[in-house]
Order: sequence, then structure tokens, then C-alpha cells
Amino acid sequence: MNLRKLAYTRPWRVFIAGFFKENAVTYQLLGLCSTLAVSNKLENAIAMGLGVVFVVTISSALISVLRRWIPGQYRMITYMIVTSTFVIIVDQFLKANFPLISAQLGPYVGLIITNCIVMGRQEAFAIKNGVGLSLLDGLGSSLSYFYTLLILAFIREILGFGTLLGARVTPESFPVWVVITMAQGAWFMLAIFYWVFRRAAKLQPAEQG
Amino acid sequence: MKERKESDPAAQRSSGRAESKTQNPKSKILKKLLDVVFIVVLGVVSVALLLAAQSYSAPAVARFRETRLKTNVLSAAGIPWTKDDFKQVFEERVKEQSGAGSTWFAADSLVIAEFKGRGLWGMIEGIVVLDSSLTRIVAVRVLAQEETPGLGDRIKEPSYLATYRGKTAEEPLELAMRHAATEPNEVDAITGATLSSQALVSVVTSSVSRLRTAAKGGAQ
Repeated sequence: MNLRKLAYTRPWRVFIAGFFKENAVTYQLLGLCSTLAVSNKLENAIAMGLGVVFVVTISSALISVLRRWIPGQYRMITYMIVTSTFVIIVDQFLKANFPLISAQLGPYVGLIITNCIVMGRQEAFAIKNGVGLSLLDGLGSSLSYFYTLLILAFIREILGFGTLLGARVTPESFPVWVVITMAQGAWFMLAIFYWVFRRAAKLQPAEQG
Repeated sequence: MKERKESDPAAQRSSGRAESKTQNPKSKILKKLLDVVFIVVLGVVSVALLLAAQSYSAPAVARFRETRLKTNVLSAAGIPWTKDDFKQVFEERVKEQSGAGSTWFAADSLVIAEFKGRGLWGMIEGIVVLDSSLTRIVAVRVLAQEETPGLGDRIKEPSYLATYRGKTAEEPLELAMRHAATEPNEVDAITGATLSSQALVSVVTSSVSRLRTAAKGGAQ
């Protein structure tokens, strides 16, 4: 299948919608709390982003597999059990292999459970669609969260700490902007990112339902 | 949303519940029973996975805690160490002692104890270092805490913990409110995180008094 045709297939459209135009942070406005909190350093953003990608993708796929058996009135309980199981597995994995990053992320890994991207994709998509599509939908949405974190963290770590992945990149004379490392600075960066992103994605205010 | 237009049998089943009204009571009960079975099976599978994850990470977590404690005790006592030899250095230079129901470490002329106590949200863990006469606090280090990020979690920062340096170990510490700490039994508070600062003061104070009783008893 050539690339041009691929762009018109349903799986690709499902993936790219979540990945770009319906970006989890800038379009769906989900996961803001953790976006502000862990985008201060690239290292944290990578660990958190990968955790969210893993949890959203795999739990969306699993909900889709189970969708014929999930009792309608207990769907929320099912989402919570599935999500929290995977989140705790991620948390334990980080604690075992990257204890320092785990300590830096603090409570935010556990709070992936309440990250609305996870339950949002399960309820809006996975419960009604096939496994393959749900997997792509979860992957697209969570990757959009991931790259948003990376972009914000990249800028915030350089400006706020003068480092990149812990290595110094700015000259000694460069005055670091301490405000950028704090939540207030994160809001400024996020607002600028919204603006740039919405121009790039050609989103009009009215389009946001 | 576009997705809602998809015709999937599961979607119809979960959205339109009209057919359930026409079902007879018996199959209704059966349905409820199946729902319960589903949730129970899901719960059991989830618990099994979590236990597996727990047993996978437990040894690594224990190793990390041991490393964190030993390296911090060495650093607090001013003993140089490297990543490769800290276990050896610790065995040579630090003596573990116990008495009066608690254990502590003696390194050079310093007395060091671990502490753990309730913070505002979770447990605060750390070590406190006293001089050999048990009258002054040499240093306090926070190794683990779950206070509010950006506010209370500043209790872990060395620049804040410097406020404990040289304070008295003979009487309970107090938080200096609305002024800088000047008295030997006063420590600075963190603006916006009074409760976390207060929690750390209480934890350190009780740990110091326990250490003093124990170490004095051990010396006699």
C-alpha cells in the first residue's frame, strides 16, 4: 500500500486525529495538571510520557478486548481497575529500575490513574471500537501528550535550569529564569504553546465543541 | 464525535438497553450474577498482576533504600565514598549500635539515627546527626517525603535543612513564625508550607530525644 493511500485509511485517520489535531493537551485539554508539574525537566517528561503512553495504549486495547463482557453500569469500575493495575505496574517498574527519577516524579506517576486522557479514550473510543483501532487511538492520543511534554520540558529545562538532560548547555553567564521552573512559568509556556499549536493545526475557536 | 456513528454490536448493546425491560426476571438475575462474576474475576487478575509487580520490584527497592541510607550516613559524617566502595567504607567506619529499643550509627565522633514520621500527606524519612556530646544537631537530611510538590517538598532541600545545623539537641525545637530563627531551639519555617515545616520539626525533635536517651544509656 503506498503512502498516499495510507493517509485515507481509517486506522491512519484515527491515529493522526489523536496525534495532531485533537492533541490531548491543547485540544482535549486533558492531563493539564501533570503537564504543568512534570514538564520542568526533560528526564521527568520522558519517564512520565512513556508511562502515560504505555498505560493509555494498553488499557485502551484491553478495554476494547473486554468490551463485549463489560457490564454497562459497571464500566467506570472496570476502567478504574484496569487503569490502576497498569499504573501501579509502571510505578513499581520505575521504583525498581529508575529510583531517582521515581523520587523526582513523586506522586505524579500514581496520579496517571486520574489522568483524564486514560478514561477519556476508554469511554469515548475503546468501549465502542475494535482492538486495533482502540490501540491506535490510545497510542495517538498519548503520544500527543508525550511530545507536548517533551517540547515544554525542552524549553523549560534550558531556560529554567540552563541544562539539558542534566548536562549544562548554556554559558555560565546565562541568567536562568527561575520562574520557568515553577508552575506559573509552566502556564506561560503552555499558553504560548497553545497559540503556536492552534495556528499550526488551523484550529478555530468555534471548532472546539 | 465521529466515532459514535460506528455501528458496533457492543455499542448498541451498551447504549440501548431497551431489550432488558422485556427480559424475564430469571435472566435478569442471571445477568446480575454474571456482572458480579466479571468484576470478581477482573479483581482477582488485577491483584495477581500487582503481586507479581510487587515481588519483581521488592529486591531492587530494598537495595536502593540500603544504598540511600548508607551513602547519606557517610556524607553526613563527612566520610568520602565512591559508588563502588561505599559498602566497604561503611563497614569500616560506621558502627551500628543498639540500646533502649532503638538502633543508631556511630561514625567518627558523630551519632546518627534514622527517623520516620508523619508529614502533612505521607511519611517523612531521613537521618539526623548529633555531635558526640549529644548536645547539638550537626545535620538533618530528608531521604524520602510526599509533601506538596513546589511547597512542602522543599523540606528535602539542603539549603532549607541548613536551618537545623547547630541547633540544640537538649530541648524541643520550635518553628520560628513571622521572624527569622535566632534562638538555639528555633528553626525557620517555609512560607506556604507551615504544616510540612511543623511536621518535620516534630519528627526531628522526637527522633533526637529518642536517640539521646538510647545513646546515653548505651554509653554508661
